Amino acid sequence: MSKLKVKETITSSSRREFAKSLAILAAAPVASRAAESGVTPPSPPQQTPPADQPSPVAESLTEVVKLRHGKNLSEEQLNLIKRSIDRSQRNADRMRQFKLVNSDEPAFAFTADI
Amino acid sequence: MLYSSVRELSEQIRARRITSVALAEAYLDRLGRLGQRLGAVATITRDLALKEAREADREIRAGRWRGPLHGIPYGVKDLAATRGIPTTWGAEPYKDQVFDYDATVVKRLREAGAVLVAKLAMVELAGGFGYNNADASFTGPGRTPWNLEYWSGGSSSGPGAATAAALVPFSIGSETSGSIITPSAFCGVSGLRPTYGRVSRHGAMALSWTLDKLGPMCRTADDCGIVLAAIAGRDPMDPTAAARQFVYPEPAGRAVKKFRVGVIKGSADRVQPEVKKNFEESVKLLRRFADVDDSVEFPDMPFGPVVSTIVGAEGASAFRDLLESGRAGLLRQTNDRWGGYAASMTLAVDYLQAMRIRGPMKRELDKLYSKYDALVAPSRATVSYPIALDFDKAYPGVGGGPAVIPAGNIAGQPAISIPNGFGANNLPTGIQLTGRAWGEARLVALASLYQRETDWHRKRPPVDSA
Repeated sequence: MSKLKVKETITSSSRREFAKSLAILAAAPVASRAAESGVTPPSPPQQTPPADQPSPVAESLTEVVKLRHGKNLSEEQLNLIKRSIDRSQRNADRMRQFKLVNSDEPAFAFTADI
Repeated sequence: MLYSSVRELSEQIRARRITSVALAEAYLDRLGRLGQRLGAVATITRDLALKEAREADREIRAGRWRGPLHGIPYGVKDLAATRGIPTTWGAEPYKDQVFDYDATVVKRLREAGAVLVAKLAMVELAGGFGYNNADASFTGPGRTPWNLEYWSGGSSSGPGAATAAALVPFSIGSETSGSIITPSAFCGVSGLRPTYGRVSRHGAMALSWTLDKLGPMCRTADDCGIVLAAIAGRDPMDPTAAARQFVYPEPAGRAVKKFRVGVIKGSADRVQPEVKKNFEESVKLLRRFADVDDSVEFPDMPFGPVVSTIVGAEGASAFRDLLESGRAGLLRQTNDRWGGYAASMTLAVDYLQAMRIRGPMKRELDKLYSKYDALVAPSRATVSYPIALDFDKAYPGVGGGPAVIPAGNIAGQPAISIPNGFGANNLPTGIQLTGRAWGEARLVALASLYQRETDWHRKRPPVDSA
């Protein structure tokens, strides 16, 4: 299985730059669709792309995986990861449709006891 | 004798018609002969077993009978730590791992006098990285003793197969989402998923801290009650282990009350025909001792997405060191080699969204379950999958219906799967009885009544002649 050649060392500033570009990339489709229609994006905020086309978010998050773990993963595995992240994003979209109120706390409780 | 229930074996031991050593030797022999063929065994603990069995015999001879598990051999899924004995988590990267302490569940069973004969095989890392076929353990695929070309189910593959083939009288499995119910159905045993927090997980591999449960897999529902009574209860080493008492059997007054059972609407619509037929016959039988509501609407909520988001995020965190070391590439199943990396990209807000939705889900389910002693559904939509095929190619078009297993796990509710017949290729089918949190005793009582009227749990797989 061929392994990706990824730079072993990435400086913290280049990581920050990359993270910033991801944030812009991830937000772009939503913003542009909203601007085109002139209305607030419907819920879920991101339209689900066709099944054979992973979303830009999945593309971007896969880039993060590649940066972090690329030396351990093949191109084929990265493609599978992209598909899997895309499915997870669809799950996230479904969860976002669930109506919660501000006081709905996560189902775990922190305690100060040791 | 070896296919007897724990209760039956216990009577024999207590009456000193058989010794614990003789029983342990007999099961050790079967583990040695059949364990590997079934892909059910990680480590046989012969020396420890004989030591514990000799001690049990000594105590029983001296009149110090500890209870129904005294002198009874058992196996534990290889995710529970055992001092000085490998605990592999089913995975190549951990196959030489040895802890210097025992999991609480192992300690509790030792205190009850049970005899550990084997660490049982499991799907690597309890299946948290998205495996898609049966060959997902460094010990090879688990095989159901009913047909060796078919899977035992997972991730408690070894407990399912070993209990069904009488390599052990009972075993301890674990469930994050489906890992006790599925192998119980595919192997034809009785498996109880306890309420979250009923049993301490101290010393057990963590896949998902907010979902993991340990529970018994036995030949009868009654045995599940006996074993659960021994392992349940508070543990200072596991802050989620609750101080609630598990009383088994139920006090007499409660036991005579007629049961209220609901059939989950749509749960048998798209299942295999034999699964449907067996389920309908089971419901018919339940009417003898229960008022049955034939069509209970299950809440339509995103149970599947919530459970997969939680398992993904917590699993990727629990195994972050494995992922970062690159040793996930040593896992057996190809999906497992990359699935954790995908899961590690779960966004914090998505994880928290999933955890926030659990509250309304729990409330909605509890409201529904408060009207019933049990809601029932087929344990699985199909019989077991062929070893040779990826799961998604095994039975295309079959399945769907309410997500009963994910829902119960999200809400931390108990369930029991008991055998209710056979389907394609002479493979067992099961019915699951699901209940309100802390309602295990009712489920066991109802399942025991069913088993009093049927003999599916007494059928023996053809493994000795295979």
